[in-house]
Amino acid sequence: MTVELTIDGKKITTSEDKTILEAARENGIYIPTLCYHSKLSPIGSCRLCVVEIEGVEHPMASCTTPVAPNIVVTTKSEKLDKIRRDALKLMLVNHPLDCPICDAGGECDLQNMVFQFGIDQVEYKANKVEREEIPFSTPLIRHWPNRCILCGRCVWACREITGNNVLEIAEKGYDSHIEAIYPEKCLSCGECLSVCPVGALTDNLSPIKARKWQAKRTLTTCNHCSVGCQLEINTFEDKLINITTKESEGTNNGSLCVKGRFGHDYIHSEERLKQALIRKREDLIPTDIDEAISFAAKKIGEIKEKYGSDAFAGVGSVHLSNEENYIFQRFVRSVIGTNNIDSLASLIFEPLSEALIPVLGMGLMTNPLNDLLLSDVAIVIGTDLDGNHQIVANKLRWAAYHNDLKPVIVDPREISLSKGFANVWMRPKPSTDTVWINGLIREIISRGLEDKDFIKKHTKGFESLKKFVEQFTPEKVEEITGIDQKDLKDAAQLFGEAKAGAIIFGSGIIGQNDSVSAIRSLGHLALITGNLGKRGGGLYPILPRCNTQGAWDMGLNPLYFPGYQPVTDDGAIKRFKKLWGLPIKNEKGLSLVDIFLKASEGKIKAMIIMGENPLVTFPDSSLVKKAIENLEFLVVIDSFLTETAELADIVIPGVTFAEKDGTFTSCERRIQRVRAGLKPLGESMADWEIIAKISEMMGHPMNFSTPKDIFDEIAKVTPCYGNITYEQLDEKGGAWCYLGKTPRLFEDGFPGGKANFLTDDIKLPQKKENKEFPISLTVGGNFYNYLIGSKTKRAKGLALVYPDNFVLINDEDADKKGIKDGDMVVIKTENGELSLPARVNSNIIPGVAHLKISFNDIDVGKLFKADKAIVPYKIVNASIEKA
Amino acid sequence: MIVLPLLKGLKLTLKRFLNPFSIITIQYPEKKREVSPRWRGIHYFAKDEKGETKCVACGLCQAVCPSNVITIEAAEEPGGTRYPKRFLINLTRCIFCGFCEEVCPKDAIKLGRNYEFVNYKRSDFILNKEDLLNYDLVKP
Ligand code: SF4
Ligand code: SF4
Ligand code: SF4
Ligand code: SF4
Ligand code: SF4
Ligand code: FES
Repeated sequence: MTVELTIDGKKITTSEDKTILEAARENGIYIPTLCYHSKLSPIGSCRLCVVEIEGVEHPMASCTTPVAPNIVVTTKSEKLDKIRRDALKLMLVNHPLDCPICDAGGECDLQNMVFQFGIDQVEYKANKVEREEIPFSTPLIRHWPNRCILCGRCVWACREITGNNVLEIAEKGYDSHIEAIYPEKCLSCGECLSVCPVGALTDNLSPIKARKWQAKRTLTTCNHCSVGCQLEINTFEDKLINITTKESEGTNNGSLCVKGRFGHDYIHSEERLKQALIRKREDLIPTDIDEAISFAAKKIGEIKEKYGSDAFAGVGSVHLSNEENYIFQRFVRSVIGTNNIDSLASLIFEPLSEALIPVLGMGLMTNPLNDLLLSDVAIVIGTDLDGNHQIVANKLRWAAYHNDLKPVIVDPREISLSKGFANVWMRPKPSTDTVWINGLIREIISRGLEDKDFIKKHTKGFESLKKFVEQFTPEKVEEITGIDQKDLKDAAQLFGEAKAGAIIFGSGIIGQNDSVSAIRSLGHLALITGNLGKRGGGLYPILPRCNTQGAWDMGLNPLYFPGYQPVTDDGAIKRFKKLWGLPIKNEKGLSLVDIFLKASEGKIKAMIIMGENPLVTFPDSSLVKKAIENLEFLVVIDSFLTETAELADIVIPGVTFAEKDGTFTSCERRIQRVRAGLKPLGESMADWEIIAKISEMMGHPMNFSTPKDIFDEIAKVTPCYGNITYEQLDEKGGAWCYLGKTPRLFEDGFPGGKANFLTDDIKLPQKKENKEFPISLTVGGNFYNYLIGSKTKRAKGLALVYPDNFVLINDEDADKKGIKDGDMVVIKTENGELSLPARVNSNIIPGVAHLKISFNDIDVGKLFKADKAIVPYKIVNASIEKA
Repeated sequence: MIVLPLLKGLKLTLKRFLNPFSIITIQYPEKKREVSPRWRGIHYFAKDEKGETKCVACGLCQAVCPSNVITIEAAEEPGGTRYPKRFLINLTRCIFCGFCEEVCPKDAIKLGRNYEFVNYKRSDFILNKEDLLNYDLVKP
């Protein structure tokens, strides 16, 4: 419905759900505001936005007043001006003259307003109240109570965006102030900090400060998780001071999580490598970088000569840029001549591809993340979104608030989204997901809620699916998974009825036993409800690190060239041979697991590990250790002397994301720019330069002088990156890697015409009583704390808010073993053991325990075993005893 | 016609030349000229009770400086006060306009009366925080 009204003599047509302020702004009419924020629902506390409406006695706050037909609004008058000036003066009565030492100075809304209204003195007198400084909810933010104008934005932001209600305006009248009432719930996301219009909340991480006009702000992409938030690094004299955002950029709309906003101080860590290191007997000795590179080139050449190309393997990285990964695979494939190249991305994409390609034709995130804003039901499985990908959780909260989204949370652990937020919370036993998903499918079909048109039009084999799921009665599901029958039925009703239902899943599914069966069943679930190729529907596998998608796209993979062109395809081989000018092997190489297995048998002689620390990040650290010990020659390129680098023969210093240019591809397949804001530290170099130099020293110059040159080549040879130029990425703030006509997959049908229901290979969990290792130990947060450092805390800010590692045990299980909260326990698996403190409560179901991986000095990797391509890296059978 | 003004000029010259009371050349550096009270010379920092700089590193002088002479690295102390961790003034570019003094909310940066500042190296013309507090050097 549209409404007509007049503002300042201008006739305006707008929709009826708008407020007067929004209608005015749309039409370029300026109304001053302080408390209004476009991301938040109207607060109405500052009275600056008052307007007069004909026929209404008192001026009204335009931010809270909805438009009405034919009203006549005036936004500027003597009277309004007086009200606004008085409102400002009342704020100033108690405001300290802190501007010179206030972070907000120069970009403070209050300062600007006072200046705009020409207020140079305040005639009101009042008793000065000194508000007491009370600790804020997180040590990363500093609260200056006297500068607070009680606008309420922080309270609203914490409630509406992070869903946490940490903050409150406490007490009344003159004594009112902002107080953190539930500090334990604070995620340290800094949303409150970013919306504060004044300097009442400031960044407390770096003691070095710089004004807007002193710092250089460089827009770039977050280097932590795969959401790919856009942020600005504020640098001053080659130091990163803090991180800010622009609301207009990226899928994050100005929000960040704690990692993005505060996880940057590792960049200036004392431990950064400034020089190359070379092994002389037992020790790594600093050396000149060019010398190290030429030595590495010589040695690799010798090994290739002596043992052949396949005695070499390359491990790339899920947190280096597309350009770096591209050049690395080009080097390994052409200069060395082997397809033994992989990265940790394959731990995720192997199961995804195997599960979904036969069914849908593609194993990727199907919809852009912003589609979640349009969903009305979302199932979230096996991922603690607030802990790992808070921006996705924020989107769900937005949809719940504005679009009545009903979340179904599936996690054996109690996570922040399962309490209070979820409509249904199912707690299955680990590794039983295939059962409840098929139970859900059965329930939906038996209620007749499946999308019959969609199934008929777009799928094959529905009858066989129907027959297959018959066995999963709610009773049986309850028996196997422990999920309450009522919960399963509620979830089926909700998801079956949903207009647009999204399925979000994380490592809890991808890294479990029989992950392929579970993921394929999820594909079936999305198909029977017609939620593919639809706005707000879709399958959302949540990827861990910033360029997991890009690493896979760039052919960091033993099977495919960039853009999923099989290495055995003659046409592709011919094209790449011509482009790279060197012969290329036409047989597939070794996968990451096989690389380590073969190396531990002594069959791989040399390896380059670029930007990865497999000794900590690969499940099964014992295997990696054995593999490295059996190598003749190991080159590690990294910005820190990691555990893996310590075992290398040559360590070449790479740079962090803040020191280089390039692109990352986010999990929603958006290619976004990474821009350098700092100069490389010491002798360190961007990883692509290092690889190019090694190649040149081996007699094969690559002729790239900037990452742009590399991207141009990528765009030429990678179909889904085609038609994109580096300049476009700058202009449009990222480009979509199109696999169809739109960023949404399957909008124009499925590849090959129809999607298939495939039930033959679905494996059901085997019920085995494991006497020796009765506990299912799950691990989480695989990658998010990577940069904190494993031995010492490099990201000191994050280390402040992430507690040290512990194992979470159910209280009943603990009772049986006499374990109390805080006791040291020994965890044993078939593969190894470690000891750490226990936390005992009922946040986890009996028979399951949980701990964090790759965290500080606790080597979780040794509990795992990797001996097949698809590694259950998330779950292992264990026993837990009191130490 | 041309000769008359010439002679007039010569008369003035001779008068000045011969009159011993009108000598205006100062025997610098033995003698020094007294500068006007509004003279703007070499910068210095005003000190607080503890002898530290009064500057809180607000950055306004840097913003106002027309020749972009000032560099400030601000740091916050745990108590919330601020100080310039580094403060540099590059005198080789300074035009001694005094805007910095005028804008300073803390009356911290001042232009002193010293106009004698000679060095052998250009880099010595870059004053840092310590220099600005060293009154023996800047001679306010
Ligand atoms: S909040 Fe704004 S007005 Fe208040 S002291 Fe800080 S900069 Fe000045
Ligand atoms: S940091 Fe985030 S969670 Fe904590 S109080 Fe602020 S908005 Fe709320
Ligand atoms: S802390 Fe900032 S955002 Fe919160 S009420 Fe005060 S001024 Fe507003
Ligand atoms: S959600 Fe991911 S991309 Fe966004 S700020 Fe956090 S870590 Fe960075
Ligand atoms: S000298 Fe004055 S104007 Fe300059 S930074 Fe210091 S306090 Fe601010
Ligand atoms: S903006 Fe409307 S009351 Fe503050």
